[in-house]
Amino acid sequence: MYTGAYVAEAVRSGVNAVPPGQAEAARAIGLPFSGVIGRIVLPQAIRTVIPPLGNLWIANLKNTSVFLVIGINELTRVGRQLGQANADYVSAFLVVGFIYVVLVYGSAQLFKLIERRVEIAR
Amino acid sequence: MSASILTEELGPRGRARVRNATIVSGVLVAAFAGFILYRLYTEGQFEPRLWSQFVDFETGWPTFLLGGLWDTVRAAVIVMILASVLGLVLALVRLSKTRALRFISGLIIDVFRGPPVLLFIFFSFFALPQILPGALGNQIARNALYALIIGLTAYHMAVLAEVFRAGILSLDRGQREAALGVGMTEGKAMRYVILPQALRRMIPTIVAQLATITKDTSLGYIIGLSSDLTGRGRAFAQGSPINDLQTWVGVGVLYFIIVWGLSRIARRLEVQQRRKLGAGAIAVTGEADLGALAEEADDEVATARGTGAK
Repeated sequence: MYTGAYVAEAVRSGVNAVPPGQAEAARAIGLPFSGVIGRIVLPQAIRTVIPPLGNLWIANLKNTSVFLVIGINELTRVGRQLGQANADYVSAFLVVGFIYVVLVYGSAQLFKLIERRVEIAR
Repeated sequence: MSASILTEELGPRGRARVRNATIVSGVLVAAFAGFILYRLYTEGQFEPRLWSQFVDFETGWPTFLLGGLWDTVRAAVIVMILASVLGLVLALVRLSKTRALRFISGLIIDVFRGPPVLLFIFFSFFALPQILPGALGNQIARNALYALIIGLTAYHMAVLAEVFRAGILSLDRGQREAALGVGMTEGKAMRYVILPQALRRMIPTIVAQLATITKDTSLGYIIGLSSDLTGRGRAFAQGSPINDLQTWVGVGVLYFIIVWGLSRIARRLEVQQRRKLGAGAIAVTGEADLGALAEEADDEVATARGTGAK
């Protein structure tokens, strides 16, 4: 629900970024509302919101660490348990941190790749 | 009112449809809200004695809860100051001429921005006492507030470093060139011309970041911090009549006042600045937008280098 609010705002800004002429032209050739949205506006909007969606994905990836509060075995919690079991928090958290860094920058690269592939030439 | 460009102007039937849908959904939302209030009422959650705990100053409890604000605010302000200083240093080093320094600073910023802030809090609470020499380590292990401050500082200095870098790069290139043109050294140009303007532009973003830090201090609860607002709320909730709902509503209101106040201030500062500077000011951003901000900065660096080489 929390992330949904952010996604909604991102998509809205993407729809606003589509030039008004696109929607007007779609209506002028007689497309119904579903056609205007589904075939003309959204496909262009989604491509422009890939970078903000990527940022949201990364923020989300990190927010999952809060799941440990309700006892879910996610990465940070497992790290703490390992540190406790081996009496060595330093290496446990360094490894966990490294995994997060790989995940975060890996997905950043992936989103950049997608962004470049679907870029709209305007 | 102008119609949306996505839809045609509605006819009488369309208008009736919209009106009916509005009425039906309005009734559904009202019914749901009414149901929740009714359940709360039948469960006795509105009983005055549960809510009067917030104003019964004779019991000492309201003072106890409000006292939690001191550690929350203190932690947030200390983190803000430390993270700003370290962040500014990192940003300046990242913009320096020496390639090796640039690389190291960039690496630090990226590594500290990667993992979630919770991991830094854990690291400083559990791992630092294992690394640091006896007395210092013991201090941290015994004092969750110190661990919280160190953890939050490590994360937010990297975030702020990117904000500072974006702010410095957002300044017109002519400012630096003019400063060099009148015979200033690079360092002087930075100190007397670029930073004073860039920092002023960043004030709204920094105030907004303070709001985020204030919220993040509540994570101290995970390492057993009991003296901040969240920690005191936990003790407050263990009062004799069961009052979890009331406690967290009250604590939520207190956090809301601080955070909402700060974001109002940030927005007002930003509007003021827009008026004074024209566009230019950096928009107030949440954490999610910082990546984009940094990328913009990267692009600007690339274009600046590209045009500079010509």
